[in-house]
Amino acid sequence: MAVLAAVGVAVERRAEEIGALVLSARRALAAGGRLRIDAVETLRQTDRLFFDALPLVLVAGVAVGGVVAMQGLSYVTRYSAGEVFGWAAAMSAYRDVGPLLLGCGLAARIGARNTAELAVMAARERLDAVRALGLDPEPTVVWPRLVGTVLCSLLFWAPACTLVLGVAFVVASLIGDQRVATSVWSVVSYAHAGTLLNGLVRMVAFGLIVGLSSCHAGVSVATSDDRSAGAIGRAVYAGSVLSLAGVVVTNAVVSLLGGAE
Amino acid sequence: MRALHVDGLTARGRGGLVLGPLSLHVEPGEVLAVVGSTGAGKSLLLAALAGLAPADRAHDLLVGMVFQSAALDDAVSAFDNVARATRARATPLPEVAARDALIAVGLGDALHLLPRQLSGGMRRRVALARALAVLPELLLLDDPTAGLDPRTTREVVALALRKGPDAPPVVLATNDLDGVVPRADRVLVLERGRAAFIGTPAELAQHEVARAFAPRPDLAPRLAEARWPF
Repeated sequence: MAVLAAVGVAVERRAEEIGALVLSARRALAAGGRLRIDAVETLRQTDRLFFDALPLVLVAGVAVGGVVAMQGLSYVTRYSAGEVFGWAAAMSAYRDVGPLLLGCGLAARIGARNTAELAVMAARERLDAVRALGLDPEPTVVWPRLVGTVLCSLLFWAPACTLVLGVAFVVASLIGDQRVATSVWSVVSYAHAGTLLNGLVRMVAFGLIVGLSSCHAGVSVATSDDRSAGAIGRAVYAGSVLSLAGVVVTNAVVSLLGGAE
Repeated sequence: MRALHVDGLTARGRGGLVLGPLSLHVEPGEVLAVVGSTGAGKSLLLAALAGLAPADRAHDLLVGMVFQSAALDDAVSAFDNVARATRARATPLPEVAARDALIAVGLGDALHLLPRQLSGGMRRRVALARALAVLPELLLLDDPTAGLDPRTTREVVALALRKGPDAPPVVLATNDLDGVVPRADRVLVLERGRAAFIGTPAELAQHEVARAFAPRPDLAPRLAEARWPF
């Protein structure tokens, strides 16, 4: 019974979090629909978040490119299918592995930063200071971070995935017998716009999930009785877990809905 | 300038603290100091007056508030912290008002410094400039001298509690009986969210409720002999 009760409590908490997240999303969409978001602050946040996450994205892109090359080469060698290596690597880079790892990177870097900043703002009365001016902190402080996260995910997608693909081609040519020209020909011949659109949809979804989860976790400190450093740490942990879980689940959902190519 | 008048104010804070019911009337230019032990409801009263805590009585005065932690945005300069407020409140000539307010609090040379480059007293003065720049009809100060040395305390108090016919009513929460309370016109003592005393600072000194806040007599000689670094 104790185990069942613990499971029940955990499920109830997760349901509360998801419910609050849905309400946050609804308010964000309403704010966006009325164009009430502070545009200057949104650009400033996008700039900060982009350059903060850029080193991680570059390093991850190189590492993932190497992995894509090695995994792809093993199949190419086994089935003598060198002509489809480029296409398979492009599918992986732009649609599957690339967006997923980029989403996880966004959750770790941008999501954690959003949560920490908003939690500190809540704990140190900065959100109250905005309210005291008669302003709503959501369009002026929270939604710019959410929109900035989505914009960053879109801005990162093409260059990061192209980096993954480029590294995969170079590594495949270095460690295997896969010429770069053949790989490029394979992409041009077999890949189509649906692959790019699928990856783009994933990135928008990941950006929204990471933005909503991280901002929600940060702002939740404002409504808590506990505004200590420990509460801020717990908020960052909760926001990161929620973001990562959201990315993984969303990836599965988009894969199911998108179907096989 | 209008007076602050609320009747039967109640509010609910964190940890189950209930404030009130309280009735307040503060004339323009008058300073009401709110004192009380930790958790007595001082900050909750100010939050309720600022519209930050759910309260069942409201007023329609334009509020300027200084928070205990200054509550500045560390990512932008002192000037931008104040200018954001003046722009948000649609103060006439917002940039000019922001610069003038910072100059008025003695920070004319620090307009473009980030809050983290400022001392605690300077940060508090930026917060004060932000509250004053929006031309408030009610000024709320939450422990504006907490953690400040006596000289900075005197400076902040002198800047915040300027009196005159055009000055707004001021409500300030403090436990500084020596540096701040004597500058107030009236004192409200809160105990567990309720008014335990209201009167002048001189009347408070004679009242038994003041004993809870008065310095311990046995410490006074030792404090007098201590060598202070300022």
